[in-house]
Amino acid sequence: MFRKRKRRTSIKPYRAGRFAGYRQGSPGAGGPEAGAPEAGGPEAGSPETGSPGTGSLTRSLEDNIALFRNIFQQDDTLTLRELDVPGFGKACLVMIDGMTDSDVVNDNIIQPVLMSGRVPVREPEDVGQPKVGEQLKAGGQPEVRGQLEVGGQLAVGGPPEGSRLPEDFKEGRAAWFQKCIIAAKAVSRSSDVSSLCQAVIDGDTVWLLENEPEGLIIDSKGWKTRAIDEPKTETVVMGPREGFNESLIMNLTLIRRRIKTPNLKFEFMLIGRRSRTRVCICYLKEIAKESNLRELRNRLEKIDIDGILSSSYLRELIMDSPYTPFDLTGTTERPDIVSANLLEGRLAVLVDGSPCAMMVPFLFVEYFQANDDYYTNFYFGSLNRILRILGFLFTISIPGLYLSLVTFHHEMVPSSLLMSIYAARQGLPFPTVIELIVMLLLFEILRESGTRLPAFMGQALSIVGALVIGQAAVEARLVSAPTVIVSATAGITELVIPRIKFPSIMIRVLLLLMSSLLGLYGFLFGLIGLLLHLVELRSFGVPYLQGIMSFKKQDLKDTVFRGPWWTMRTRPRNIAREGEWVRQQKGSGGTGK
Amino acid sequence: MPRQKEILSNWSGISLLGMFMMGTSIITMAGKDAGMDVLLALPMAAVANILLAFMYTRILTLYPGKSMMDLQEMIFGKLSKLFYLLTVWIALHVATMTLILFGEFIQVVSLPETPRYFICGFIAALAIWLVKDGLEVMGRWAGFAFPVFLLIITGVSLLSIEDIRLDTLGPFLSKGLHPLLTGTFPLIALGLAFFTEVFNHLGNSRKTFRVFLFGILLTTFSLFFVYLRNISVLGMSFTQSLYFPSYAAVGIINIGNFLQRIEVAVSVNFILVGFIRLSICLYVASKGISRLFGFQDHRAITAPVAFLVMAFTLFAFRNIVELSEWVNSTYPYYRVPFLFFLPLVTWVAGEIKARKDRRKATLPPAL
Repeated sequence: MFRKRKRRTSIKPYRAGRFAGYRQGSPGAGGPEAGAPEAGGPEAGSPETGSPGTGSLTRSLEDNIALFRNIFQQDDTLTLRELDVPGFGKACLVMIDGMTDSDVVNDNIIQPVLMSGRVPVREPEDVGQPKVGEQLKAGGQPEVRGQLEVGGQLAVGGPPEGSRLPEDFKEGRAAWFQKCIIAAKAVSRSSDVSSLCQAVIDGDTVWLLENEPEGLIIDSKGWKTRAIDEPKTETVVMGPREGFNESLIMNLTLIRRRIKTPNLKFEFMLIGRRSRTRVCICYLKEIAKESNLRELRNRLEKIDIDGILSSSYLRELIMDSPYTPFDLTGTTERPDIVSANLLEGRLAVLVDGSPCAMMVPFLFVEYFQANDDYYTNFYFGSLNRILRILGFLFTISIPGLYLSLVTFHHEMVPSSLLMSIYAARQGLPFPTVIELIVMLLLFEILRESGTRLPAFMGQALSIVGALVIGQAAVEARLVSAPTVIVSATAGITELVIPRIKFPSIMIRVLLLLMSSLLGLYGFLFGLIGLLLHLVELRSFGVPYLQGIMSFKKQDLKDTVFRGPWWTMRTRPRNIAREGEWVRQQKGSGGTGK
Repeated sequence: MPRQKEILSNWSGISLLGMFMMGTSIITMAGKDAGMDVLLALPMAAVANILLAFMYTRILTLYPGKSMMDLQEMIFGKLSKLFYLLTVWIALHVATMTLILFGEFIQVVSLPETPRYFICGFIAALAIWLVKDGLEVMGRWAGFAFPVFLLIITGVSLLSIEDIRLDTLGPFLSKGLHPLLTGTFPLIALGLAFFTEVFNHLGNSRKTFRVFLFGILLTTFSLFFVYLRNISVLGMSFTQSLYFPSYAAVGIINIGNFLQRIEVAVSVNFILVGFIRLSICLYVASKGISRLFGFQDHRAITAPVAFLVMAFTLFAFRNIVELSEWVNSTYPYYRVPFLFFLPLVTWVAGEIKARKDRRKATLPPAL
């Protein structure tokens, strides 16, 4: 069903098991945050994966601290906090400044640990509170517990009644601290230096204890993130205004809050040898197609790159046809769009550090759909959709059509219009095709400079753009007024759908060049080629043009037109799992139709 | 890397068939020598086409999933190469004529100074692209283009209502049956034989005949309206004297001094259908050649085959006059052995073989 991509062959084969540990670990207890420290996998120690350090901890705290200092040489953000835990000897907290939440470290780690020393152990001389220790030794545990309680000597962090003592833990004293003392939501033990280091880098705190070959990885991640606000690129008139930010977990929360079912699954992976970026595949089990999911995992696992900074990296790496200018995956910064896509049976991929979610499969018709369509009246939504389609058709075709009409097929232009075009072209130095290409180029330059320009310079740009290039150039008889109008129309209609900008620029130029060679026939050949390209594309095995020009009634309801909600009874074809196409039963909604 | 089997949907099949059949008639009005009787010849030809479709369907369903060439290989063994050779020859020939018609049409109606091979080059390049993408993509492309084509035909015909004079029609059969028969023969789409290489990819082989039938009826219906429009707008004698009557008939349209000179719509239509006609021929030719030499994949030689066709266009016919003369006088009879007798022989032999196989399957194995 899926076409094999030729380019894949040049990429290193996926080594089984790299992410296996990660994926098994993460969806378990404690959520993804807790799963993170287990990342490491069988290969974590090798220098190629970018993971620091190898081997395991020793019993000597000094050596262990030295080991960390050595690994994080010349990294001054590394913070080592040495503690003296009464009754246990020396301990040390390893963390990175700025990655950890100070409140968590102070209140939930340092304080309980320091207080834990008040708990009696069986060597009273070491503890410094011999009295209690003696009592403990003399009586059995339950009684002593009771006495302790009555004595009121148990401080914050000490084990409550019925708790076990350090000696009861066969795994060692670290296990006692993990289970009974430290008040963090996720704590795990490890002696593997590379996973400890990775945890430190991830923002966790590593707690090392004298004479203990295991360290504790304590979840204490905490850093400032951007607030949840409306995405600047996807504004909406009516509808939710929340947008993704750069924190993966926050983004997942935004989705979870919209779809409250245990069927909503989040699968984590690590991609990037050096960046070790967390990537989450998000889908609705029972609706999403199993084969798509398998294919997506497969394609993601094949990626062997050193760093992923945005979901766009992934997009290009997993596309069905790598050379096409069209998007074969959807992109959005809005959780409501992702949720709507998940409900249609699509899969979403979120990348830590990027507010853009990627969705597959993506169909051509989705370029023309906006979330606003679904939030406003369906007549209005359909009208807007048709306008977007017209905008796309205009922006690709206007320059080519104009050129072929005025240079090849004068007979098709109404005579009066032809006269005025020719009058405007009197005494102009360049042929129409050169004029058009230059004007379109200038428009693109203006657009590009406007995109990245600081706001205060915008004024200058608009004056130069509008006055000099528009009016002055026409008055100076460098270009004809119709050309300016044509290129400006093409430019403006291009902005109706910002997402399809690049393909439309490319198609427009190609059609313009074809028209300059063969007139309308060239234009038509160009359109034939365009249709051919669109027809050959597939996104995760689904034909790219599916839903357009279909005669099936159900298909028409959410393609060119946005049907009323009570008519959209099924999900789009071929995307959701077989047999899961009905999304609302007959008779749903107030009309009862 | 073996590709997965390509599957054509029924609509794709109908579109391919319809576009192929209308390929050149839509612009040249094949059979117009019959005079007014061509309007009667169309339904007669449709009956003949349906009878042919019976035969082709039978060939395709004797062994479902096998094309005619597969069948020939099963039956005739080494001898089947002769069959391939003949099929390749006629496919190349039809492709050449279609491509020349393309070039001539564009050259005559609007770009007189552009060399023919330049225009042909673009179309051939697109056809190579389409054929290389495979039958499924071809089918989907046709599935998109065919509705556009039908929409344009309907729209343009509606616009020419003003110019239609039905009193110019008739008299029918004024010269006896002979013109009717000479008009029917060119309209019989022996080219349907090419679809024995295409429709083995239909998703549901039981519906093969229905696809044939629907395609033939749709084509006949559309052609009937086009012919009727052309004759009633232009008059019979004028229609007969033109090489591209549709173009002239639509050129007359003038509604409110605004909607006029829309003959480009006819060009669009012709290019859409001619493109599919060319691609199907190219597909069959490259498939035949790859079988002839035992290649695994016909895609590898699609481009060379297209270049061969391009080379043929340089010397096959010098201009539309030569082409049209040959098409009207010789071609209807020239194609019969290739497109009728070849499938007929295959069919008869296939029936015999299928019967033998069935008997073998039911008999207990020999000791």
